[in-house]
Amino acid sequence: MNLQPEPIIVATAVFIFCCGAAGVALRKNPIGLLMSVELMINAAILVLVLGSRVHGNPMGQTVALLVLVLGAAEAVVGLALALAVFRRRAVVDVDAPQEIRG
Amino acid sequence: MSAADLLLWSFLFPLPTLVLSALGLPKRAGALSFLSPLAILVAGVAWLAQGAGSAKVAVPDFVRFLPDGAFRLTVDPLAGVMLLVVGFVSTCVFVYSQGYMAHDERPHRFFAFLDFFVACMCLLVVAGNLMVLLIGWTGVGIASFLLISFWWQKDGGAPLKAGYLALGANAIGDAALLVAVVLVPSGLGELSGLGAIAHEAPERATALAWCLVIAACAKSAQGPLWWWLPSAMAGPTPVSALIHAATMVAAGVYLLVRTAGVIVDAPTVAYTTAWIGVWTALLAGVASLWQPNFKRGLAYSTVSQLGWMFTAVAVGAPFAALFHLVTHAAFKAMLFLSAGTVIAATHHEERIDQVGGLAKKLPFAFGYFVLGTAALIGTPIVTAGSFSKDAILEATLASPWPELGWLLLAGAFLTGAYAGRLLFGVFLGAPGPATEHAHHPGKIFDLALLPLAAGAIALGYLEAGTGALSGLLHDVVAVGEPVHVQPTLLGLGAFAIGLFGVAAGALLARTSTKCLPLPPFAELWQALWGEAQAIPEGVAALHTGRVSRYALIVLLGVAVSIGVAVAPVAGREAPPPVETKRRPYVPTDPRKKKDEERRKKKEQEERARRQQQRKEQQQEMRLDATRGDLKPLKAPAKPAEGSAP
Amino acid sequence: MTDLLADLSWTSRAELILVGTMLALLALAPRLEKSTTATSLLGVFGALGAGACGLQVEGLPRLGMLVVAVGVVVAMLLLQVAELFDLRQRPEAAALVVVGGLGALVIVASRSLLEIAIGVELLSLSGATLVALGRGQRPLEAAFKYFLLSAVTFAMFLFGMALLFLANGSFGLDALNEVFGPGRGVALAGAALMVMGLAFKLALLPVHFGALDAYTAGPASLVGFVMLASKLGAAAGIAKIASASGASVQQLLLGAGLLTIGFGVVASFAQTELRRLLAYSAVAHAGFLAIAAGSPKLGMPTALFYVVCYGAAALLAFAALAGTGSAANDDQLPVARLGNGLGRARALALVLALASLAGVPPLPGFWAKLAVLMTAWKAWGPVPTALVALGGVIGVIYYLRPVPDLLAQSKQEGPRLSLGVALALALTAGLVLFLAFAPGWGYWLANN
Repeated sequence: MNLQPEPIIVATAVFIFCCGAAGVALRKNPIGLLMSVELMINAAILVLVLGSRVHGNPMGQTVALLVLVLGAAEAVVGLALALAVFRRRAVVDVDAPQEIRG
Repeated sequence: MSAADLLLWSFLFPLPTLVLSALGLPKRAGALSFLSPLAILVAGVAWLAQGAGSAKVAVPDFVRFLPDGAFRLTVDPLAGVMLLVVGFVSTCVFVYSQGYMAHDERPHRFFAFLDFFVACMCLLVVAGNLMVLLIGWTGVGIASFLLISFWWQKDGGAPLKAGYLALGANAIGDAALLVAVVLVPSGLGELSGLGAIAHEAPERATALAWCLVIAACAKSAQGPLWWWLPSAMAGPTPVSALIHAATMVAAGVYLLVRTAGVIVDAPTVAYTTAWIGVWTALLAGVASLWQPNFKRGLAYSTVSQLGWMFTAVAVGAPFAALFHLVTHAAFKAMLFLSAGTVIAATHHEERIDQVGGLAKKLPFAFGYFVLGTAALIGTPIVTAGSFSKDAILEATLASPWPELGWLLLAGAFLTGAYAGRLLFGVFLGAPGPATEHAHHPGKIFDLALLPLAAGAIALGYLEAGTGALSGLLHDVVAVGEPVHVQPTLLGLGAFAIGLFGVAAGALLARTSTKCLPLPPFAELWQALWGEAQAIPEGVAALHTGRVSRYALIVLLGVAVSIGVAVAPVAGREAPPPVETKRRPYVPTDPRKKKDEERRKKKEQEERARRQQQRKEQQQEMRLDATRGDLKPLKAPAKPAEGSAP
Repeated sequence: MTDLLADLSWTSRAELILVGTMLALLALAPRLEKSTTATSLLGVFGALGAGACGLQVEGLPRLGMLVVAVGVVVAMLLLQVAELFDLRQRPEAAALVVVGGLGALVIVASRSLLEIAIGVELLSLSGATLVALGRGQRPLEAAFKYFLLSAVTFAMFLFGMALLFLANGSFGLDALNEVFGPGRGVALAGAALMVMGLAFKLALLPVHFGALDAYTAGPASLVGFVMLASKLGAAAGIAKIASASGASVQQLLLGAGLLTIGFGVVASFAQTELRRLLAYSAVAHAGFLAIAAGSPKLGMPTALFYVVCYGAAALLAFAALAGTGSAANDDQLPVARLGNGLGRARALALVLALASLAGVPPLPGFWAKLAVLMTAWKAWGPVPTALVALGGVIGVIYYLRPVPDLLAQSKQEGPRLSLGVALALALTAGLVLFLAFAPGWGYWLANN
């Protein structure tokens, strides 16, 4: 059996992405939710590195690093917002604030 | 500067008084406002006196519009006649409004809106292409909304709801006209040259005709789009007279007359339009008979009369339609204004069973109403209505679809019935509860109607006997048979049928409710309306405020969109992940550089060899093609590009 | 050094000016917090500098840069009345506005997917934070939701970009359409993911949730800018990706656009508050924008023209609501009883803005819709055109609901107009009126 690495890596990345997506849809804790988003971003990074390998283009790896930075920036702002929103709440549940609807 | 130039810019005339009114000047609201429609009227008369000449066009280039950039204005005889009607009726209504709105809280606002309406109406009339027409078209719709909902806080917001209804119907018409603007190939947007589309782009001609008819139906409350006009009566009565009887609702007919060539060239559209007109005329006539509110009864009468005009255009007699438009504007505005006098005299009493026997207290209004009724049923010789109505009847009976004419004759009976019911129910018969407290509202209410009354009598002779109107319009509008002064047998017959109708209406007015005892569809309508209102709320309820629900919807939506995007290629090729260029990335190392270069060279050679091969193959194929066989002799071996060495 | 400067393109110079402005605002924040005028002036100068650079640029980015400049200027003028949680944070708010403008500009001028990604990130961070700076709990809630969903969609964008890179080996936009063969499916999936990631900023169905809440609850004086910048950036990015990735993505945009228009129009009928109505209007207009951006020819110019026309009206509407006190901030203004506490100037401005949003000819909103209709007619034929036309005009019913009450306003009611608000109103109203009577000019700018 000839197992080529690329499809496996892509499948892994898609799996990680779907895990992250499922986490986004199912988690109620803001921290868990943000971590799920990070998971999705990590899947993207994996694909970028793979692309870099497949095409022999170092750009992919550079962008992967950049995306890491973007993810970190997002996490910072996200955690700050989550803190501000849930500081005064007893229950930490992303579905709790629902004043704006309709 | 000739009068035609003035008319070209007539839509600017109301602006000074609009600004004054908006600023709250002069102190007595509307004291100056009547000057602007009067100016339009005077300019129109001057234009007539100068011989009314041929079309005058202006394309000011400081305004650059899409799609072809032209802000095109045209004054031709048709537009001139229409402007005369607008100026004439508006002047009377403006003067009348000074009396009617004297006790209002914000009369300045009223006159500002009315000025805005006149400006938009003039722009609609002088429009030289569909784009400019659309501006005026939407503008009058919005002015209509503002004026219908003028007392927006009254009756728990009922006028506001009526305004929404009008906006909704108008929006459908605007959409149709918008599509028409897009439909017309560039350079053909000119209204007068629109008929050429049948030759230039025949595949679009029918669609264009449909668009125009839908737009006209929405504006003139015809066919399935009738429902907004009766509820529009929530506005002040002068508005009903000016906008919802004489001018704006006639804009649909005006548009059809303008573009009659397009309509008639599309036989299906013309046939449908004719049927829409006839059925609207009949059904609106019946509906008028069970309106407990006499203003709404008059509104249905307007819908019915507009149906007559639609039929006339559709059977190829646009001139008859326009003639009826002119006379109808005079006598219907008069009917509405005399109804307004009744409303003002009885402190806003509009229910027909609450009034009655008002003839003695309001002799002038009674006289006007009698004259209006006479014109409506087409009393020969003394009223204008008879000539125009007969012209429509004759044209319809002579058309390929004479059965429509017979139905219209039945419509004449209904006309008599609803007119008679209103006349006997409001002015004659036993006094109602509101009659006692009625008092004459003031002289201005009587004087302002005099010109309209004169018009209702004399306007027929504009054409009958003299042929002045058709002489003026023969370049623009297809003119049919000349109109006779002597009543024809047909006209007399129609009049007799109308008189029978009046008698029936008088009988109806003697019953206690003064209207048909049929169950109104109001409840059904209300129920439907309630159901319809639940839809938006249901849709908006998607936003529950729960962010995890949102995230789920987002994910599902994105999954679906990936499916949509990939679907076109999914069937043809299996989408395995990339295997096209597999070459491990090796960081450039000076030691391996030579290796690298050697490999690259090799690759280049390889590529060149393959290209050569491909070229040969293609040549082979071409050779085959010359032999009449398109298939290559051997299947081209498709080399995987850049495969690993 | 001078050589380096001379080699810079005008776009880069504009970006550098904005970065410099942002840094200056942040560095001087402790001093600037006492003087709003100085803060605003600094921001205005930065925006004008960027706009002046924009004038030097040829082609489409010019219009985008001018729009960014105008948006930033208006936001700076409204800074005085901004409904911030902590009024000392004005310099930070100004800096965030500049960052948002920078994000939109980067996308408009972008030549690669990477630049688009960075622009989107800048827009997200500035948008969410600006909304979060608002007074009360509602802005915070809206900002949190906006940010969370924006992070999710941004992750999608990144994944899509990675897939495209995998299929193609390049981040360049030009190379996007050269993927054929087995990698085509992967490339299209990547393009769809990226379009949907950007569509969040556009407020397109089904990724409209965050924007809807943010526009409802954010501070009125800043939300207008957030909306303009996000729409500009997203529309430009989507137009670039769609024109490079072919028919199926364009059809996806058409479908999503029609769905969005229908949804926005229907749901708007249920709205009783003006702020919510404006937010839904942002959703419905996103549908038109998506159809414009997804049209095979002229996608980018039509989309930019639409953004210009829509943005002018939206800025005007929010400028009219800016600083009207708690009523506007808590968005408890019932639509049909809106006039109380607005005053005549704001009421008239709001009427103009609403009429333009409704697409009343000859106001700019109408021309924008006409431009979309013309491209839709050429690209998609009669049925979509008719649907778009109907969706375009039916809105007049709910947009004009508050108008009778607004037109009944007298001078005495309402708060005093500060100089900044008056200038902002004059600027945006002037823009709306100019576009109303010379739409051809704006269209020409977009098409050259």
